[in-house]
Amino acid sequence: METSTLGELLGRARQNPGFWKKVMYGIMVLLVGLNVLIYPHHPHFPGEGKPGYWAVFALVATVAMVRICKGAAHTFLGKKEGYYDR
Amino acid sequence: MTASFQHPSVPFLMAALLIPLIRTDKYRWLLPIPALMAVAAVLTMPTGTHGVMQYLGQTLTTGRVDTLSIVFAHVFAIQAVIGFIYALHLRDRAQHVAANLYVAGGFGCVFAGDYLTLFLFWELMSIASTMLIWLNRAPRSTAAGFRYFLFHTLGGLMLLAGMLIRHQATGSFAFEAIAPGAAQWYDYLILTGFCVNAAVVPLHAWLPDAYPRATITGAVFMSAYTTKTAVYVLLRGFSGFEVLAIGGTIMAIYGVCYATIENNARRILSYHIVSQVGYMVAGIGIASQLTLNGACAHAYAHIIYKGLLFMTTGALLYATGTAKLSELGGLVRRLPWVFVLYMVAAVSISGMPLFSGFVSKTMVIAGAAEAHRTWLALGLELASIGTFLSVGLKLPYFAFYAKPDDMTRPITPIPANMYVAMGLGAALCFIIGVQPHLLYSLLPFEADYVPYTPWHVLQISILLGFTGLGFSLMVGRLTPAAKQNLDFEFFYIWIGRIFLFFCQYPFAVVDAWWSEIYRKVGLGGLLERAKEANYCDQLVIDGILDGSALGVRGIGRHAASTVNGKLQDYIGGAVILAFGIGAAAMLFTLLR
Repeated sequence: METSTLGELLGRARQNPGFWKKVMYGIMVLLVGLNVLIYPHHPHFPGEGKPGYWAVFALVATVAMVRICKGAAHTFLGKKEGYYDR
Repeated sequence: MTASFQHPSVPFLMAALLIPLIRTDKYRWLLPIPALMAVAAVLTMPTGTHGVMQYLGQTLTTGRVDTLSIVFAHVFAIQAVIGFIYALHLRDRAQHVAANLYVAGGFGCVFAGDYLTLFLFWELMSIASTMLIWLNRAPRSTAAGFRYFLFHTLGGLMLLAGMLIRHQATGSFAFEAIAPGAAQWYDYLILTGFCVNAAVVPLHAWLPDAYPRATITGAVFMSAYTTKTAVYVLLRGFSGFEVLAIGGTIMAIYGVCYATIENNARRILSYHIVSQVGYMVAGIGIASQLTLNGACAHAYAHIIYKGLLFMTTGALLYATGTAKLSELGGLVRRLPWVFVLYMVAAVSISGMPLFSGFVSKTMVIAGAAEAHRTWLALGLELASIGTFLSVGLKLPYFAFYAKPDDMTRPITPIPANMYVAMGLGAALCFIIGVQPHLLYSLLPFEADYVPYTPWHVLQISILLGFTGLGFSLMVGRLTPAAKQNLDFEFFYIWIGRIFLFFCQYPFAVVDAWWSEIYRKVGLGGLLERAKEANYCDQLVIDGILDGSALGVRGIGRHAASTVNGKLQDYIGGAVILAFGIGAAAMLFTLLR
């Protein structure tokens, strides 16, 4: 089957999940570290001046959004495909 | 410059007329020409009022050119070039005609100076876009097209009713900004008509219903023009309406919530139109100079990256025959360029620095925060997280990775013109991201905004980074299910069914009763009367006549026996008899 160099490169990227996880955690730490040094001069939201505010916001929001939306889909929103064609 | 105003709709309308007449299939190479002519027209047009004409006893203004209409026309023209290059391989004249008419309608709305002109082009768009759904030529597309057309007709009728009542009240079809405090009920009718096309929740369900069922190239066009034309008319007419500020924020969050649970890639993107248009609508509602500029800038950036998203998922659909994430996966080695181009659009919509969404979306959010609309700004930040979660991570992960490499699935080769169009879109996403002043110089309002400050870049990086962390924790739960998620179309369909029920049952029962009553009482009564009349006729009238004849005979017999030969006696008797018969006949005739 034909594949290109780019395809091989992108395909190989997932053969090393441990490495990518480390890179990701490294970036997280770096970003929160930078947040100690760089902060908004005129915070618009209460608590925005504290380092890690947006990190916590993003993480909590992501987990909450997945749980709430998927929960809704599993309980009452999700129907068989072609639900209206009955 | 000695340029004159050339209406950009004209080349598209000419193309729509000519395409059916050309005999060879080579006409397809000329498809981007009307779009290139539109680009030239937009770049050279002088501001002012042009194209004034008399029609239906009204003065129509087809060319209102100012900074607001130019920024929309600019991106409409560029996206038309990209869209027609993307559609170049297609040997379907009907689709090309519909797309040309549709784009012509979009330009017509943007340059319309009065409600009547606006309405004419508005309906042209509605009809042409319905064609782009029907031309997918599948039973589900046909049904979705009917629903789409029905809903847009409803919105169009609200606009028509509002503008006619407005004309009655003010004596003019002028399409100017309406101050929120001075808005009359008919203005709200017009606003509702606009909100249907802007897909404001809960009037939005037509969009994720119809767009995934449009043709591959049709969806690319539709993602650009219908909702953004509505954003333009809202900007022009209804800025500062509080209902838009709150409604827009709700749209932004609502769209990403559905995108998180959807399975069909094109349906996910459709919900992201609702979400992204939400930023624009919120910016229009908040109506500070910064948020209004943000709405224009975001519309511009959005048309380019959303077009690219629909082009890349369209390419995926073209190559594999499905857009359902549950049926895709493990394709990155087979379609690496589609993946890369998709990711450019995905990070643009997510607002990653260096790409176009970053320089436009943050304008609306910063504007909302600076206008002390803290809750709205926080809602829009939440929507950014959901955007990256569903378009930036979930969709590409489940379409291109997730499963083991799929090396056996038959893949239709993607035509080169599709790659060219996608490449152009991706280049624009990047250019706007790194050279935002190119976009900012087009913006109509006075507001300075610097996107690349250390804090802005760090804040969005933290948001996106920790969304990624959340995704890696929740990825198992996000596995797309081959299901259909209910949305407000549930209520539309039930309203339709209840209406149908009333037609079928109560109305039909009343109708049946009425027929029965008519049959029994009305018809029966008539028959009774006819019978009576007949009885009367037979017994009374005939009786009298027959009786009189018998009588005459009898009289004749008697007369014969009493003939005295006196002529005056005969005549006198005959006259009396005649009078009697006549009087009786008259009496019965009157009684009938």
